[in-house]
Amino acid sequence: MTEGKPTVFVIDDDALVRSAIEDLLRSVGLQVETFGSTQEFLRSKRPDAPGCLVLDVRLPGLSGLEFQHTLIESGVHLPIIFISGHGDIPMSVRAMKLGAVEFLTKPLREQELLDVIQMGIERDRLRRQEAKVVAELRERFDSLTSREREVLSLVITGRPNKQIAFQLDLSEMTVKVHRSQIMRKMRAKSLVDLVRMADKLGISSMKT
Amino acid sequence: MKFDPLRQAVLGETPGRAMKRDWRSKAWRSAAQLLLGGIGLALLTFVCFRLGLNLATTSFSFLILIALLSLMGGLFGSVVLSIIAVGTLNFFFTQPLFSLRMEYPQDILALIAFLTTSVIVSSLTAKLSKVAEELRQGEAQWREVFEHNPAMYFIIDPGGTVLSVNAFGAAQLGYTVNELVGQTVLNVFFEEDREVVQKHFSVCLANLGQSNSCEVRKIRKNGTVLWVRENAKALRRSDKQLNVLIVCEDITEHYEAGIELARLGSIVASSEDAIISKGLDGRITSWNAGATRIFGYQATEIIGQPITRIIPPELHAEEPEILTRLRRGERIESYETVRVAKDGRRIDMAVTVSPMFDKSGNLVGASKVGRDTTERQRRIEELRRSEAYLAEAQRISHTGSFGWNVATGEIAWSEETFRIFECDGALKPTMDLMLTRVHPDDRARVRQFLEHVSVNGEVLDFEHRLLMPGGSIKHLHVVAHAVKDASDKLEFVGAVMDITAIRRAEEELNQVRAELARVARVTTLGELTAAIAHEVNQPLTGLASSGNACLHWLSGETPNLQAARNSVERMINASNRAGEVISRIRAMVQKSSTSRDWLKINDTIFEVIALIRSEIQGNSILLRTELSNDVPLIYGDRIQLQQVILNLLMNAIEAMSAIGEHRELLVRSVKDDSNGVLVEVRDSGPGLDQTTLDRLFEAFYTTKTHGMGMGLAISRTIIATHGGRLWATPDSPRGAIFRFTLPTGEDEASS
Repeated sequence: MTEGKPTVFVIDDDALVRSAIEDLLRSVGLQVETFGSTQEFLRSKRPDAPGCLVLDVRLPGLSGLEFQHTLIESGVHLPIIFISGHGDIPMSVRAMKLGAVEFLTKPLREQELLDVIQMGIERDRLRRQEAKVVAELRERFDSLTSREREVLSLVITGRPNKQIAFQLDLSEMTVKVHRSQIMRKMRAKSLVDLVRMADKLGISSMKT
Repeated sequence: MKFDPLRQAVLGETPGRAMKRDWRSKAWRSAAQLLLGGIGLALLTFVCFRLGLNLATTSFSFLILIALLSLMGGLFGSVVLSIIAVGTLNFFFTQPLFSLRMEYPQDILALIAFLTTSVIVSSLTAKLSKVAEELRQGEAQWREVFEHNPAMYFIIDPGGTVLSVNAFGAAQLGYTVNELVGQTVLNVFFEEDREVVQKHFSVCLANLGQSNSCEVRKIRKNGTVLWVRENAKALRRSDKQLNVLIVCEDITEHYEAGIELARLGSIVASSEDAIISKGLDGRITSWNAGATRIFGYQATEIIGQPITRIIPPELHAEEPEILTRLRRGERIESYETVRVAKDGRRIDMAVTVSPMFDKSGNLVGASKVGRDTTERQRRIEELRRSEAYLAEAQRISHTGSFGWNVATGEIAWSEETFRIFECDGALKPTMDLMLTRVHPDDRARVRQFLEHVSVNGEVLDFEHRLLMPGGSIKHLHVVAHAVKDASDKLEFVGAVMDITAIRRAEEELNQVRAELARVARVTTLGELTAAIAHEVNQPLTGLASSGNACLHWLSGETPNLQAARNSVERMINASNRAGEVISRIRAMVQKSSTSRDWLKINDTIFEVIALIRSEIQGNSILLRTELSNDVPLIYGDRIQLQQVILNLLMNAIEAMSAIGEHRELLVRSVKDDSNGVLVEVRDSGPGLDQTTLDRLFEAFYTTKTHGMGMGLAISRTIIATHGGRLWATPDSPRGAIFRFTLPTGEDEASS
């Protein structure tokens, strides 16, 4: 599985600031894409690569904070770094609560900006990896039969086969067969492995 | 005695009774005559005999006696006495004495002569006395008629003196006859009419024998007035005396009846209602001005026309029915109907019809009184509407009205007043009821005020609060003026306004204004700085970023010179941009200074004081102003100068909030030496130490907890752009003085 080069998206309506940031980021070898407005950004086709978004708080139309909200609602999980001419505390608190990486005030300090961008890209990379693993597990989970899913939900609670058989009104032998099928399909090396997978998938144990 | 019908009428006697009484008295008188005559003759005989008088002398004295007695009695007695006298003469005085024989025949002749003479004299005397008696009775009868005839008779001489008046006439005027006779007749005439009377008399005197009449007023002894018709006639009596005979008739009743009739006539004429009469044939017989006004027909054109001219065709059938009812003597009480005017317009009317009878009680027609109710209906409607409007207006404006009669203590409230006081409309409003609603804190003041105005009758205008049963508070504004009622008693008529909402709004407004004054100073400054910061930040961000990029491009193993050059170009752009921002701000400031105009600095000071008045009061500060009238006009920006003054005043107020008492703020304006204005703001706050004084006008220097330290810096800039100077000095013993000067700005204004 190949992964594209990390890209930094910059949205600032001020062309001068926009190009200066682009220049700075390119000078340290980062891939940069700049946008004059949020609409422009939404219309663009983003590469399948880790990245982060440098967003000016004061934008024409939608404000940066409102745009952050819009992105979250539409399932875009790009880490956001806010830059602002006059950020105040309540504004930054709100942005951070919604998951912003950092809230920087202009004029920007170079090192700080670069560090935060690295942090953002790293966070995105991890998120993307995590998402890939979960997607893989979801594929495996989807290959299970409905009976196997039932058995799985009981297995991860650590119940012995006997109890599972009783609860599902099956023979212990049948439970054992289902269990080995599950381990094979989920490619779990151990019960602990299986429990961690289930946890990642967000499967809750079946109610007794 | 003759039968006298007049006497019968006057004395109420019948002929028989009168005769009987007459006869009896006659008999008594004859008896008395005979008795007296007998005694007289005896005495005379005795005297004459003793004196030895002769026959002739004695018979003559006998004749005298008989003649005298005949005046007293009738003819019968006289004849008897004459015969006795003849016998006596024969017996005592003819020869031979003491015998009835007569010696000498001449004596017989003498006695016959005596007897004849005596009888003739007696009969003549009797006749005479009878005539005299009849004359006397006749006069008495006429006098009685004169005295008691029910008309006033006066006889006056040409000079107007009353010669005679009848008892009735005198009694009518309240006098006795004697009181009037000899007086001038003018005394009994009403003063204003005396001239008329005199003229009337002179006309009579000029036309002897001709009777003239006039109607004048007479005045009674007790002062009351009566109307009389006077018929007067002058005539020359048989003794050549000129007299005026007057017959007067009391016509007061007729006269008053005439006036009454005239009054009724004028009422009919001036009535707004149509008053019409019609005969039995249905034709109009009278038509007043009101009818003309309502129907449009003149009396001349409509009288004689059938009444149906003013009745709409569909109602013609009503007429016979009405006539039938009238014939029964019924009055038809007011009923609503429709009539037609000359121009065909239909009129709503209320009509009353009454039958008219002649003196003998025969129906001769009907009178109709018609009222145009179109107008009345409209007025009633209008009144009702205006009442509704008033009530609605009172409700909307929260204004109730009231009346207060001070003497009787009577109070009347309008519906809205009840609502304001939250009292049951069925209650009778009283002063006590009102006072129970007044806020306890205001009650004494209200009572005192009412007592004061109830004595002085001044205009009542005051505000007080009400405490409602629910605990809420209302603010009332009461205005009333005094009027005199019909009996000249003091009465107040006025309005009660519920100004709670206004009071509340005012309080809120004051708070908001205070807030605004504080906030405005901070936020305008804050926003300005934020805008400037942002504008400058952008190029600075670009500058820093591009500078860093440039370093990165150069610090690589193989420096990317082209990219570095691009970065430097961006840096130059960014710094140009920063320059542009600065010049733009400067341009903006210059642009704002174009709103300069001639202004009075004192007005500007007052405007600011008005803005912060509640702040001053709220902080218990004593504000004094000493604004000189001869300061010149300033050519400046009103808003900017307001900002400066506001800033200085607010600083002073805030400075004084730290001290406990004696908070005094003085604002002065004077003409300065260079013909400009010097404004001084002096406070009694803690004052300024040397460090503060040195740094006071530096930007971001502040002694306040929440201050930005921009106010004085900006103020100094504003004053400076106006060509003036702003500075501060400590005041002694404490406090601070801020002063600024402003030139008149004539140079700038002309440039």
